[in-house]
Amino acid sequence: MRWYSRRRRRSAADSLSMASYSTLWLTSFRSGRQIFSMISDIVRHIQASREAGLLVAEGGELAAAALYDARGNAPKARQAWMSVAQSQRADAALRTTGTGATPGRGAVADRRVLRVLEQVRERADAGAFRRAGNYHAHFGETRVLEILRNPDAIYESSGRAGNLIYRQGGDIVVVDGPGSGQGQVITGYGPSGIRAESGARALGGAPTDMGLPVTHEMITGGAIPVPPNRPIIPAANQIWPPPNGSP
Amino acid sequence: MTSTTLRLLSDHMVDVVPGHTLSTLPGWTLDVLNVGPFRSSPGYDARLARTVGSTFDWSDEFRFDSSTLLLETVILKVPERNLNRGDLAAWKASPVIQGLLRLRERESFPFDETSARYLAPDGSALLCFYEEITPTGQHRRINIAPSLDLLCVDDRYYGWMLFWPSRHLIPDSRGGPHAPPALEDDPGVVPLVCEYQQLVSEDTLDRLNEQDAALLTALNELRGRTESCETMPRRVLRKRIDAVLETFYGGSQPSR
Repeated sequence: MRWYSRRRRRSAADSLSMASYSTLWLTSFRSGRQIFSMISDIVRHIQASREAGLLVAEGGELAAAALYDARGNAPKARQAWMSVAQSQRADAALRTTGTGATPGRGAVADRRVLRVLEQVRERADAGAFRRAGNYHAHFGETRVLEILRNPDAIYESSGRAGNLIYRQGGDIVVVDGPGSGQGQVITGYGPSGIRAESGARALGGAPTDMGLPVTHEMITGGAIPVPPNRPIIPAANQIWPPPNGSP
Repeated sequence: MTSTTLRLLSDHMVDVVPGHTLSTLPGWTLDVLNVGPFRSSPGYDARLARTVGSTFDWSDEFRFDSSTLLLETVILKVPERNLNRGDLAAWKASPVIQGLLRLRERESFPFDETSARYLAPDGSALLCFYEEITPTGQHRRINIAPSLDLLCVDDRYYGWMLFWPSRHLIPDSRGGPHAPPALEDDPGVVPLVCEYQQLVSEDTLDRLNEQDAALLTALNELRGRTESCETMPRRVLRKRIDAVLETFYGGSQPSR
């Protein structure tokens, strides 16, 4: 429970901190055309769903941002917005009482995600992990277990499924987010595994060559070189260690 | 729908080629629907390499032949949010064409997974759809595989529908078959599957995480009822309940 204990002590700048959320929001849209497209999408989501309209009416700009990022999925957007709102309230409380050392440390973690992290950790400590029926990893199960036991960082995908990404060095393991299959390992790749045919197609080289490292920037920028064909994938937010802390 | 195009949630457009369908029987593991091999099966990676499209790692998986750009295999996640919009009859009555999706260009992009599900109490259909899309507009279906239709509202992809889903139940064991060997009819399993979806859903997730005793009892009772006769659908349901119990209750089922 080493890393998890530290996470609980720091529980602040976590799954959807105000800082990371705002940064994503502001840096994702640079041109006027993109902003127009973004607003059009938000309006479309509001028109399509009463729940989306109520969410934006209640939460303003941040709720609209969350709705956009969730591609109109109002329940997911509400969850994201509430995390941010809770973070803001906690930050304000800390500032008021003078007990907070770092802005953003007051965020309240998503307890469902925390439960998944706990379960994965407990299983890994017992030398096990669950494989999804559609498990497809590019390296062996021993390496998967090592990564789950001692990740350098953990991220939550901003995609609809909310998958969790464990990274150690340049290797990643992707597990199912909250739900009945939570914590199941879906895939893993990086330099500890071979590229296989699909990786060779995506990255060049031979199927027997080792994979390329996946970096923090790739994960948070939605630029993981996913085999084969490098589709655009959702960006992810670092949830452990807290983005403001050190690994 | 214009009969030849489909607009995805991401606003990407794909074409619909009428007259073709996949011949593979869909296999339903309760949380995922496979039309094609499991990703854990031998040869999957080679197939992945010679196709383009989305991957299950990050979204629903639609793989297209890299030469013809025609749909080859599909892996769809079943959402765990229960929602009855009362439109099943309208979907069943809507016009249907046989057709396959075809990419417009040799490119890959995510196919967003649906967000809500509805299983008809009589077991006749499982609907999985985007809750954020209001289904007002012309309803049409594209039959892409046996018993499996994509649902369209005007030109938008709204979700998918599997007919008589309990006949398509398969275990999600690695190395196992990705399609049912035969469509086994077990009408008695339908209410059990419906009950499972009520007990294990987005609404009950917090209770499961808190190891709610009443849910544990209900799951164990449901598991017991799968043992009354031995059919493939009942075995699949029982195994799935065991997996849920292991995930949330550590495999200890005191009332069993």
